Amino acid sequence: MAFLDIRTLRKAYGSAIALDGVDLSINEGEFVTLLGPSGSGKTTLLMSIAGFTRPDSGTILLDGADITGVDPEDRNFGLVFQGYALFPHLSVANNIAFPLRVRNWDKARIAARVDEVMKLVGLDKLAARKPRELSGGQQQRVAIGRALAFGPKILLLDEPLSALDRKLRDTMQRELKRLHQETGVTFVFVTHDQEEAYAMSDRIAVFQNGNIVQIGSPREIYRAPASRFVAGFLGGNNILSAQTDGAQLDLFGIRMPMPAAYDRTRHGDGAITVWVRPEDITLGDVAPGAVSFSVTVADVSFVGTSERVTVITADGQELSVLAPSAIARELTPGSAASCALLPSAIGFLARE
Amino acid sequence: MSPRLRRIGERWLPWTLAWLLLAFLFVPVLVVVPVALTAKDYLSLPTTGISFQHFASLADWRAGWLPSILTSLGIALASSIAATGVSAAFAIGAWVYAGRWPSTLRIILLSPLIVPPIIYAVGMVRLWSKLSLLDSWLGVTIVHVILAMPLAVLAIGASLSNLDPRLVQAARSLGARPPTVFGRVILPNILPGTIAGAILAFIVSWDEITVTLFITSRRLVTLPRKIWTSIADAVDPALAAIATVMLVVTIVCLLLRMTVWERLAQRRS
Repeated sequence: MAFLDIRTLRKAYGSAIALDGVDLSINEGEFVTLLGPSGSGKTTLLMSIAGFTRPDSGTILLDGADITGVDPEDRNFGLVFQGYALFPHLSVANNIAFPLRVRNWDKARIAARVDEVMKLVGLDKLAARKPRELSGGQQQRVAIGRALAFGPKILLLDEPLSALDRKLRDTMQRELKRLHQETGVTFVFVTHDQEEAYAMSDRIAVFQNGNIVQIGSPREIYRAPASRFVAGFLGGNNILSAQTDGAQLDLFGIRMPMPAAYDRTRHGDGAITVWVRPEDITLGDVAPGAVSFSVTVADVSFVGTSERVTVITADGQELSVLAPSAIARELTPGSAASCALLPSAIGFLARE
Repeated sequence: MSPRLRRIGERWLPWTLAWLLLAFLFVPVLVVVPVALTAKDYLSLPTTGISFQHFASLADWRAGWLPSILTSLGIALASSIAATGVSAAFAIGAWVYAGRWPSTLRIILLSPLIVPPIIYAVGMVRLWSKLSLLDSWLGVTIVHVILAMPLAVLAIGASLSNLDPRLVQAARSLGARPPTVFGRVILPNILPGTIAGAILAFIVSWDEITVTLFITSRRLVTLPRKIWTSIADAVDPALAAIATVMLVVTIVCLLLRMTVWERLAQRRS
């Protein structure tokens, strides 16, 4: 049995359904990310686990015990908010000591634990500061330290990094991963940012319309999206229409041998939907075994490490390609170019 | 324009105007001080000699000033405590459960600010006579609490509006039960606003005359009522003496507040 077991959880706000019978099992010590667009139910699920949202039906089991009706103050789960919600009248040390004082620990034990936590989150020199005297990243560390101080069974994080700038976000992602490994606490992390989810999670649960549509490791989710929504939500994927008779694939009017990933009963035949990652398409050069096709360049935009080139295929489909700057710089909108891809890079979507 | 004229226009004119305005606000109040020292037994400037007899009569129980001061003090303290307590409960509740009900209730609570006191007084006379609360401590205190609540709600609500409502969730997730959340998280953060609300409530009750005139008669004489009747009946200079005392007390309180404030600010930095 899993550590935290969520069974057919439902919650509606008037006619809006936030959770539509969600099932989710989380193992002890796991880092699970709830990923989805805003309004997909991920925060409602997190707040139900925290105890602040009462589900209309369904149960939440912790170690086999039903905690659905337990008050949040009795659950012993740490919670980190997007805006940190630090106590403005208390110093860093007293913020961290708050959950310990509430639990009536004796003074010496509190002092020792506060010291330990401040070292853990890297704040040992700022003990006497008030929250308003700290930077966003430091406030974030206090919030995490405070939520970990009392040794929670689970740490719940509600988009804690979304207010930070990119560089700080990368640092905090590594910090969270380190804290997760050092403490061994189960982390449940909510975000709408897929890169954040990939960087930290053991498993990702993708939310759509109040339901988990796919759950798996970052690589599984990226490499084998279960639906058109998951394939499109992650990584600016190319969702394309193709034709097949079951033996050969016809994509952009090019016929090619059927890739091994194809399964006729799951993916169907006739007009089907496939996806190709932008980084799996090459411009110009053709690798052995790759199929090449001609395209018209529509747009070239610089994205830092490479260029994102939008091209139009012979059958009028729009395709996004990630190409090295050295090649993409030569292209101008309207010019003709040649693209290539390995048939094995083509993914198939189940018939919906 | 010559530089001299310009200097007068830019520096002295605003300065003089500001002081004149201050004088306009304050001098009429100061007039009570010489009047209180008159040797005559009617309101007049001390042209024939200075006397402290009117101050002495304040301390005389039978003159009625001392009892009415104590009455007002008691009612104002009770009203202030009750109004602050109820207002804090309402303001915190409305802050935690934002929605349609709190904002509707808020308008009802603030209505004494909008309804003219004289109209309110007429209504209260009828209601209190039915409930036999006319001319009673309880009746006056309840009315003063109602009149003081809008200001207390506004003062406490203002300090709550700077506070993140998720602090409550944060505290609860850390294991704090509602009384702890109130005592250790909410109250320390809204204390300045709550004290301001309590002081405002005290002042409202201490000053209240319109409704009090209607709902009291012989038994309960608050200080404003005593002042009112002494102006209407006789022009007793004790009136000026009590005004002087109140003026001095107010100034002392202000000075005390300023020094305490400075010391607090020093300790904080």
